[in-house]
Amino acid sequence: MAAYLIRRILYMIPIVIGVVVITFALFFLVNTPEDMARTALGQKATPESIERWIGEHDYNKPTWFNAHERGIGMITETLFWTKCARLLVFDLGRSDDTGREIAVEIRRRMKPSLAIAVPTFILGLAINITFALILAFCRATYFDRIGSIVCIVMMSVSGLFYIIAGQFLFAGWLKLFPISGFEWGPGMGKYVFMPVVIGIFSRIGRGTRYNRTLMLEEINRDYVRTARAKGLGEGRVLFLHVLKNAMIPILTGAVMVIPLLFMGSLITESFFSIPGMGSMTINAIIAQDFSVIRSMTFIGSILFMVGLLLTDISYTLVDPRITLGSGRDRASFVQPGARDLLKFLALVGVFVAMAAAIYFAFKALSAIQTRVPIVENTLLAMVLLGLAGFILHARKNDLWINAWRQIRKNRLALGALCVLCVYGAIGILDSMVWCDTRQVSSGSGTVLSRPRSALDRLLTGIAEKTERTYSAPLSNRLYTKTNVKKIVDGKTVTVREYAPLKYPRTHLLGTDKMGKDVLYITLKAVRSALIVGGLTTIIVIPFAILFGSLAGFFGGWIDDVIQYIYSTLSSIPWILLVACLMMIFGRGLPQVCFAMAITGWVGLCRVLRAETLKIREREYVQASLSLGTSKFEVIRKHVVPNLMYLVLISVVLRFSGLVLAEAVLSYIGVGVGAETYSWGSMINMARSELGKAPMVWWNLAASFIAMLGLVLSANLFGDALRDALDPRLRVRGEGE
Amino acid sequence: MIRSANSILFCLLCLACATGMRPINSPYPEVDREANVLYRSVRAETTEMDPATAYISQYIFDVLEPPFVYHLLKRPLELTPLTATSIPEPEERVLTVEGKEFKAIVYRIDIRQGILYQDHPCFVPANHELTAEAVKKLGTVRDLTQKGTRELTAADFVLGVCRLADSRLECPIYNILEKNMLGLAEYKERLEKVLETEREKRRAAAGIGYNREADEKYDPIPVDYFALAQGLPFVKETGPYSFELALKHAYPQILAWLTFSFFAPVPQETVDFYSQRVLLERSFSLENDMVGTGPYVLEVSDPIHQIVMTRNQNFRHEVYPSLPEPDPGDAQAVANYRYMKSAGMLEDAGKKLPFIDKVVYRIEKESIPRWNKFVQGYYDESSIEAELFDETVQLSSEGGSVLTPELEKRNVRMVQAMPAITGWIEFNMGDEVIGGYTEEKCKLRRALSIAYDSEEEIELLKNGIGIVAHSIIPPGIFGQTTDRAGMNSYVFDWDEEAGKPVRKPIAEAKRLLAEAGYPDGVDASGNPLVLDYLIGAMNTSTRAQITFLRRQFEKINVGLTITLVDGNRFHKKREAGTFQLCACGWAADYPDPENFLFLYNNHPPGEGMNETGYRYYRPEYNELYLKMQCLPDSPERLAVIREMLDMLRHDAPSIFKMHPVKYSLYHGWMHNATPEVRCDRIKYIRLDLEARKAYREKYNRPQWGKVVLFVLGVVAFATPAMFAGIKRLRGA
Repeated sequence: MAAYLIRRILYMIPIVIGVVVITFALFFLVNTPEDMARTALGQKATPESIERWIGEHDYNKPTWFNAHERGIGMITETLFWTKCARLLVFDLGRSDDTGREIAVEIRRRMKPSLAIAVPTFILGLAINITFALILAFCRATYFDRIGSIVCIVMMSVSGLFYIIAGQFLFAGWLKLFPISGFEWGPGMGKYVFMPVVIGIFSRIGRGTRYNRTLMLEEINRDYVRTARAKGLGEGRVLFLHVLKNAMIPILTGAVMVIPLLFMGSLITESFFSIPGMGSMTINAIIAQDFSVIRSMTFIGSILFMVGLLLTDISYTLVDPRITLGSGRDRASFVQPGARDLLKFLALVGVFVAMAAAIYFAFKALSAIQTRVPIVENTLLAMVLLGLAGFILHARKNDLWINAWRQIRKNRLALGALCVLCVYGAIGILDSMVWCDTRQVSSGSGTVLSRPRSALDRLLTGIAEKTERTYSAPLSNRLYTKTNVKKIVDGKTVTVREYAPLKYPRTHLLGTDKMGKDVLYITLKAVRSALIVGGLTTIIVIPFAILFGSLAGFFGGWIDDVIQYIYSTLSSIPWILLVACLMMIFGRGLPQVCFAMAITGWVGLCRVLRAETLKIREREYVQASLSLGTSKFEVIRKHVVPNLMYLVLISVVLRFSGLVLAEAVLSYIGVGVGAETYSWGSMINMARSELGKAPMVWWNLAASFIAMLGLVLSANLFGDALRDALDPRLRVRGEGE
Repeated sequence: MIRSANSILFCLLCLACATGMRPINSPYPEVDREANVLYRSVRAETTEMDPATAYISQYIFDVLEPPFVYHLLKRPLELTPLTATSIPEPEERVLTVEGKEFKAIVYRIDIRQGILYQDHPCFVPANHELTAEAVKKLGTVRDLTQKGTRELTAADFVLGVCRLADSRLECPIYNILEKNMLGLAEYKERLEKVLETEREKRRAAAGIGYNREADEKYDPIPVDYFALAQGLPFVKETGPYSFELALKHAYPQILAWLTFSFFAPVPQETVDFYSQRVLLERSFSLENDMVGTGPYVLEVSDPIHQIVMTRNQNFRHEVYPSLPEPDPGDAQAVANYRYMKSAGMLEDAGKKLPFIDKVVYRIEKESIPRWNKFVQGYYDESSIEAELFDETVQLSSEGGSVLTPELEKRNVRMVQAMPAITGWIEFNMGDEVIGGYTEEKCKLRRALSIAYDSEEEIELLKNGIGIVAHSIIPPGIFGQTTDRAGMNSYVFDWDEEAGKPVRKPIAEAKRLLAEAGYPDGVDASGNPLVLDYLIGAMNTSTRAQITFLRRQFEKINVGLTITLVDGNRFHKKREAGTFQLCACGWAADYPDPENFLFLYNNHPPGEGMNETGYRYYRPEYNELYLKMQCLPDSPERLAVIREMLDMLRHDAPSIFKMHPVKYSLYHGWMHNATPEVRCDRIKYIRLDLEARKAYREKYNRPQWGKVVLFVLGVVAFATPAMFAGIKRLRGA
């Protein structure tokens, strides 16, 4: 144990160095000292003042290596050394933007952030586990089913909505608490209550659902059966055995939250005017304050690693079967050989090369303008071919044939599948794009107009019926007063009133600020959601399974390397990393997917690794190994299939998360392009619309319902699919 | 089950009895409930407090006092002395700089005697040798027991001006001053040399691994500003209570800059005090403290959360200004007098200032909480958020805007002001398609100007708050009038009947477009005209703006593509000239047309850049500009300005969009508030505390009845679940 601890603490050093190097490299790729000067000096910057700023802030040095110096000066007289190396001795320096001491600032801001985050985290975890236990306890009753659906509904709601609704309820309607503000000290309760309650509430859906699944998984284990057979009460089984064993994945999920605790909740803090770390981070990103960002990254990574360590230690406490001793113990039965290494590297290489090839090919192709845009239609053809290929494959495969038989019996799942197909069809229709021509008097006589999709053409009726501005669903008047010219007694006068619509009673979901039909926008956004959710998941899954299973199975240096990669990546605050990547890639839908995939595989990978740690200890795995089966074969046949249910749950959970994450990216200004429709941007728009009086609710409602439809059906179908694919769960179904 | 619900209800009832109907949702500490405190909200975490770097920050003028301010009651705005005794007249004189003779314009500023600084530890010599232990326990430097004060002298103003040249401070208007002040550039050179020598010395002494930033952080290089200024005339102490500023040429706008904090006095003691390593290590510096002569003292400086000011005990005797009854012949003055009188701004004349004991600035980023707190009475003032416009303002029958009855009932007062801002779409004058000065190109740009319907933009995107722009100069500033002479006749026609300008019809725009070589939006070789619009940042309103712009150009068959980049790349592209269109705006620093017209006074292409990065270049315009700059407001100046504006309207280097209007709301208990005067206005404000208390109690009663309802609802919702659980337990 002590050796393990020391080893892990020593591991932290390269990770910290890695984080510092990556942050530095990423940041200087997107943000040169000149950019920083410009941001700091504002609009009135001149070339001279920029140069002065750079000199004054010591940024006029080569990045990594200084050829003009001799000896050690070649390394020390560089930006990296002067700006970043000092972090390693905990010298955080001063903010580039405000000039304030960062360490002092963090110390001051930590208190309010923790005052909100710690109760939210602890109470939230307790409540989530309790609810999950209750649901698991009542499993297969109507209560469980309703509870699960409530969870799904709750997790498809944007966090923003909870905040606004909570403020309205507690502060506006009941007048019990101040709307926002903060005061450190004994009177702090009245400021902390609302953010904490809202924070817990907004996470109940996701947390409860996740924990419930983990517990159901445990409930069908043999030891539970044995305990029940011996006559132990259901409650005792649940609390004494199941809870304890389910703690491993629960803890894994929980530790991921620790850096977030420290960083504070970005949106919550700005809505409740809490002077914490979250608002500091947001400010730093907006102001491109590298000093603050690198410090936050540094501290975040250290916290993350401490959390990681604590989780691993807690594993041994809750489950003595897991061994964390020195690497030698494990070496006795799983020792990666040279061939394994080659296979491993080849696999990784193939994945990376494929992803990169697709990305660059599309980037190159998108520059060519034709009547039928190449990229969109090729993508569509690939997706359709892939689907067809899968169906052909599945029709010959016993596993999928059986799964389909199972699903066919489940009416709810079939319904969900139908809904999914409708969404899919909308997405496909919206992806078929071509241009029209316009007749003109000069030149060749025709010019190409903007490309439109099959969906646009189908919806011409509503797409082109635009009003002046907001109008409520099915209304016949505008929702806001505008200046209208009227003829009264032969004189034209301007009156401010609710003008009648051009197309009264035709807008099923009302119109938005620019008078566009909200139904049309909502349908257009389906494609973006499918792409954000689908493409990201497609990129994430192979990497996560590969790395997660290998790390958990082999342990040793493979585990170390993979852990190093993902610890480093996940230590960097998510928002910062995605924002940097988006700046490199540029804005757009595929870019969002790539950026989120690069950060997103880490979470799934951790969970899969933890699960593999358990599976590895199973008898059938060990038996298979001792029979001489190749290790990769064991992973493919025994480990990966047993991971699939976790992958499915994560994918389903991730889907809605990704769509909502897109809204957060829009919040800090790095989301999809300015003219791409997405539910994320609709929700983001709704921020100001909800504040409008009277409230403009249909934009939020439309995106909320559309998103709910997609997420809910994906979840229901995912559940059914899981039941069908997981042989162990099937036995349960018959047993009960 | 039922028992638990009962106990919850019982607890709530007890709570309700204990607190009664008193508001419990106050976002402020209990002790301040009835204190004479003004509460204001700040949108962003403004951080600048150093007078050399702070541009316009809300609270800086409560503490720091520059020589002049704008008169509280006079409109149009008029300069009036604050710490100076009078407004100086320029004086021509021959001065020598480093051996060369120059014809200079000199302003001599006399300051009032007997003004004392606030009590501050920096005025006690003992505090200049603080030890680490002494500093360790300090919450703020004000916790030091020994404090002192001293009289304001001209040397403090001189030091303030000298510091502007220090590149370590990054004064944002340094470039403008350098262009106009005689000897300032030479002074900066001397300063740089001193810094450079000292830096070289330190680097050599420390050897390898020297980190300049880390070293100077706690050990800034001391500079003797006065010694370096010897022989340079840009600023000169001419006596204990007077100093002179020397300019290279006539530049009357300098007086407007003298209302900024850049020209506020800085005592040498403060600079020395804040050079102490022990203080800098604890992050106590001039960046988060202010030492001044103003009516307030910075008490709490927590720029991420709140700034608190309290009354300065040493503040001189100053009284509320009065406005004498104007001459009946002067219509403008009479109107202003009536307006001030009706707003109650004349009642406190002669009373001792300031009225308020304490001012609290809270950071409030989101608009919804900010507005709700104003309605609840926890902020004394608010601006009108665009989203809430219809809830707060109605159009009256006379065409003006008035408050809604709901707010009227709450005794809220609304004041309208023009903040002197212009928004426009800039054309890249160096671009092949859209730029250039030929008649065709001008016509193309004018066609787009006509197609861009600003009236509709104000209506849809700005809730009707705004004024259509006819030139770069907003109305209210000399040179722009709202009559026919002030109309942009290239874009508008005069409607005799209504007596106001009307946008030319789209047919006219199409005709101009055809004349420019793009009939029907297509050029001779059959390619459609597609323009690229550069956007530097994305926020919730960007989407609507793009849709709007696209619709405007589609009216004349001009296509639009969007290039979306981050803020820095936006500025880079603008400077490099790799763009066609982008949105721009300008807020006036001072109420003079020069502050707008200088934007188009540029070097010829390829000969360096104007500090604002605009590309319009016309030698005739530049000549007129120089003439206009030195003229006082007169018919002669107006004629020159009109000629310049006409040139701009003809060439159309920009689509002039609109001037926003600002509405400010004040609760009935807040007196003497005015949004027009940018700085130095808190000391005039008076609060009626009784009225405020009554309001807060009336509108913030906790809704205990609704709480009970809410709890009952939750219980009712959870009951079936409980029963299901119990049933299951029993079953098992």
